[in-house]
Amino acid sequence: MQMTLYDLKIGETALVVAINTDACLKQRLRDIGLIKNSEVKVLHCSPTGNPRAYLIKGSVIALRNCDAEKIIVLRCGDGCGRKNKNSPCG
Amino acid sequence: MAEKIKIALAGNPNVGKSTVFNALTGLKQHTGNWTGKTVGVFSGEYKHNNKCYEIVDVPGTYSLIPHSKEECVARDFLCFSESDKTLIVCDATSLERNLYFVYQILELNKETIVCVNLLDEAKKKGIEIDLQLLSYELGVTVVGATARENEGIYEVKNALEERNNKNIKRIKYQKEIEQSLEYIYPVLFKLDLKELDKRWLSLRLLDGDEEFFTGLKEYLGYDLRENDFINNAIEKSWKFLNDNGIDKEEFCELVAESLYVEATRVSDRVTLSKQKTNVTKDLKIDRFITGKYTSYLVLGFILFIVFYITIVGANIPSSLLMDFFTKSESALYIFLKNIGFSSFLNDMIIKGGYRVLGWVVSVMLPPMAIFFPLFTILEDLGVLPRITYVLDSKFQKAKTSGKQALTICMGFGCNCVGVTGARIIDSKRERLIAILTNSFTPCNGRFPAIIKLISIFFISVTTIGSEFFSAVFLSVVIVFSIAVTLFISNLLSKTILKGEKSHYILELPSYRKPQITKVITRSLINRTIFVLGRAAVVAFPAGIIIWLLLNCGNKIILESIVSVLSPIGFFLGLDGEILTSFILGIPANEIVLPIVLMIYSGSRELLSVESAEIISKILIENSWTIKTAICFIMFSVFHFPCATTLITIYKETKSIKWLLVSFVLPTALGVVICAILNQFFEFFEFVL
Repeated sequence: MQMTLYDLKIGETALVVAINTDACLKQRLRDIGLIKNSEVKVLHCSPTGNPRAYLIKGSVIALRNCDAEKIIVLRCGDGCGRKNKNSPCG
Repeated sequence: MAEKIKIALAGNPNVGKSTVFNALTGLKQHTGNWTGKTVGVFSGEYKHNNKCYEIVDVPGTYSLIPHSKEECVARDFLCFSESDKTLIVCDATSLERNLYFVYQILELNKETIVCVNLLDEAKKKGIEIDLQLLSYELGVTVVGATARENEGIYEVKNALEERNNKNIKRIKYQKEIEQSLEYIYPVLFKLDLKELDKRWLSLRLLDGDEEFFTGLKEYLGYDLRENDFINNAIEKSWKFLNDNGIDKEEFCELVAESLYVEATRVSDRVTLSKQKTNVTKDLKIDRFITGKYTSYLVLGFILFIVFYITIVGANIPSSLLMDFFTKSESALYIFLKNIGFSSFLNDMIIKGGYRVLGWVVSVMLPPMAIFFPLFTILEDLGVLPRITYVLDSKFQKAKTSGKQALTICMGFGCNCVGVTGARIIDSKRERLIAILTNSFTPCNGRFPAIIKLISIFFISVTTIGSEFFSAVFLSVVIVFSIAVTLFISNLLSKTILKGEKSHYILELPSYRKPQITKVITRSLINRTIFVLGRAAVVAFPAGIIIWLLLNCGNKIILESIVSVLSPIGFFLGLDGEILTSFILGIPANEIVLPIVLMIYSGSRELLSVESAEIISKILIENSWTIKTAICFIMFSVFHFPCATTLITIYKETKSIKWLLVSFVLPTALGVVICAILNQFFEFFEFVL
């Protein structure tokens, strides 16, 4: 089953598998460092739970849930991190 | 005098770019326009080893592919300006993403210096960076800095002085893309391209958007796409790419991917990280500020504190300034008389123009000089982005951007700043909504009158802590204005500005200690003086016009306007005099209440009234009640924007249509709200 960034719980980390958004948002995400194979961690959510904040390449970035839903990810176990970033995890 | 060396200062947002700018230039800053553009960019000067440098603070951006108007300004400046060198500021704590932008700049093949800033923050997070190795990898000079401590600034100046030999490492793309460039590259040699790099231009001719070509045309002075050879080459190139299964979207993606691969490789190589990125401290504060229950409390508290400080702090300097203007008036009057001005002319200039100018300055300057620095401190602390983060869901429902919350905040200071600030919003539709609804936010020019009325009609002036209660009442007005802004934004999204919500991507930067002194100088120069200057320019002639209305032909014009507006005024719970004052107050909102008082008292000149008692007496004599006060406050919040804002709206939208909408929409809303309130009160009185 495919998992999206939106499905992750707070505190979980995942690897980006695919970005299924329109070209404009894709470009935008690319600019802030969200690309295929990059690592994302869910940090916290706003009072209503939408948007949520993610840790992407060392920066905290807020994304709306409707956008996060279009980003396919692979959830990482606890071992996944910087040490073995080249090997796909899950 | 030697020529100035022009330097463009670029970087991602939140990397301490303005700190570097301040450290380099000190106080020698000014907003200036650059060749042929109306968009203001910040520039400053400094001298180093007898050479003069002009440094331009380009708006922060994540890439050279713009999404908002502000980023477009940045792209145009970095690509198409005649700057001699580019200085890129990087965040040492997220080097990888920063390098992606650096590589985009390096492709321009201009003289570039990289400044890796925030080394102290990086150190705290256990990150060390091998600057020498980075310099080797990029092929340009790299300087490390902690700009807020002034560390590394001297080295940056030295680096900017040297001739940096162009040894820039260029990114190699995959085979198909490299081959596709071969079609275009040779053709470019036959053309005059000024300073543009041919390889970079070849790439951009393939993936550039409409706005890119507009900027290019302006820079070159001719349209490259009218050249058949070029068009032919681009066509051939695309045919080749398409044959290899690459379309435009894929092309952009592949280009970006190559840049990122390099950025990741280099950043991994030069970064020595002792531990995993550490954001726990920020996370704890975030949990509090953006928490489910705490966030609204925090937000309300911040709002309250800012207004409280502004209101209390502005009182004394305001009356001092007023004193100064009153005293200087007679001196100026005598002076003009002595140099031979007729008494009519003299009266017109001093009692008309000068007095209104004095009023506007003394009422407007102190609150703004307090509000904008406070705002900048919140910005520096990293609180402002969190506010939009917390409020975004409300704006999502209105199908607009959470960044509109920021433009609203700026609007509290001045609606012109709010309207200009809407440039940070990516989507054109959402930006327009933010512009059109900005005047619903009561600005500093309207606060004094609102506060005066609150203290006259709702709380007795003698109550202890009356300022506290004024701030509470004011907060209620403000919350109402925000609610209306959201409601109207939603309405616009469903009617004339139909569309779906666009994306919202916002970085929440690390919390940082604000640099108080620098904040004050920068916000004073950047916003306060700027806004004040514009207000003063309209206040003086407005004063003369008002004076003429009061003194020519027995006030016939004025009285006929009042009598025409009277029935409308009564319908709105106001009267003809008040509506006339709002119309005469178009140049600046702060003169509305003074004009009201002036017309009531039958005076031929603007009264400088300070004490609430006198105002209260005049108003009550003219049958003001709580109803009138509430309707006045509501109409003050919801009516046509002031002249300066209208001009700004036209400049930002370049459309008469939206200018008209921005005029009619708030006025209509004010009419509806006041009429309803009036009916409500009359019914209430009837029942009682």
